[in-house]
Amino acid sequence: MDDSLKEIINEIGGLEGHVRGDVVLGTISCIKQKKGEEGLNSLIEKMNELGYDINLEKLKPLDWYPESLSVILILVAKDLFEWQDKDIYDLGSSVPKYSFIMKILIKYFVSLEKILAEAPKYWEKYFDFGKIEVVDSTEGRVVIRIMDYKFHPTICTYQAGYFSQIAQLAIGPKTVVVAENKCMHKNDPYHEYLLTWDK
Amino acid sequence: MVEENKNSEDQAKVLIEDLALLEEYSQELLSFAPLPIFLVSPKGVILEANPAFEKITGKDSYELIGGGIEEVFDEGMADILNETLKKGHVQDKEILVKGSGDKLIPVSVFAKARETGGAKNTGCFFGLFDLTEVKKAQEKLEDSKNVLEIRVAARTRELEDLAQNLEKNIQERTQELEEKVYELQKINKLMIGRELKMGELKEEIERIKKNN
Repeated sequence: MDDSLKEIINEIGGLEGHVRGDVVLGTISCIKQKKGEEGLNSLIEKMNELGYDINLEKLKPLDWYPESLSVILILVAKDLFEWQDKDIYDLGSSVPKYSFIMKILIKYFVSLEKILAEAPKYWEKYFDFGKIEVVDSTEGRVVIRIMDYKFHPTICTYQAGYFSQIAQLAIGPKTVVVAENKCMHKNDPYHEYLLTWDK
Repeated sequence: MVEENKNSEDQAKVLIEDLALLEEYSQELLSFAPLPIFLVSPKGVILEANPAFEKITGKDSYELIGGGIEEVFDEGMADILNETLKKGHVQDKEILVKGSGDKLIPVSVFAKARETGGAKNTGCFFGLFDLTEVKKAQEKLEDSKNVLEIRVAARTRELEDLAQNLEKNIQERTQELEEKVYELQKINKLMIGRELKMGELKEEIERIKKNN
């Protein structure tokens, strides 16, 4: 791990905001699925070296954890497994498959309109900071904005993957393309994602 | 005010702990279930799969969740989903699951539409019953039945032949006996005739002696 990443991790470690353990557990489950038990153990070891104690037995899906822990876990995994953006996108798209909260919110998955209408509540169940807004929704096209969330550009790719999976779960097995048109890391006031798919 | 907040926080903590325990319980129950069980959205997207469903399809949850049900079943599953959403449940519908290596596995489908928090048709629970062994047993039973039918037909033919032969033998023996009876009657008649003649002759001899 190079010094620049260590610096980034130190910087992120100081940022405020919490996320449900469900997201951390979902990320860990996906990493285990992709890299096996051995890969996961090496990641946890790396996290321990950086001072982040990850005890799988103690992680609870509904407890609050610092979002920095979730973000650093992804950044360290990216560095350790030499992942590209596509791998991070895949990781983000796999997390909802393992999410306990998603199962609770399954009643919204009857249609995309229902999910979009409930998206702000959905966000609040996961995060104690930031917010989500659906600014445009037409057949085969949705625009989502994320406000007051700024950790690392890699997470934008992760979230793009996450949104694609949520859309797929609602609309059925269609290919959803996600593009981030605005990004807080590029000095935009919010992140803006455009989701499109074949009608 | 501070006390009230503390009480609310304590109550929320207890509820969250209970919910986490309930989640563990439902996961354990799903994992333990020997029958393949899965949850599908109204659009036909797989949202949950238990280990038995992973085993029968030869795919893990990672591959299954997010995919369409038609990818896992041969055909007709969309109709079963629609029927479930319409009627609320379906029972014992036969269908083929695509197992590993393109193997088609016969299963019986049981399904129930979900109602979540007052919202209707939020998805469907599906349970499968693997019919592979039942089908094998049915085939064996059918084979045994066919073999038995062939054997019974052959034995029936044998018995019919035997009965026919017996009838023929009886007829021949009857005819033989009738002929013998006829012969005996004929002999008897001759004997009686001779005896009668002898008697007449004796009487004739006696009459001639008296006259002399």
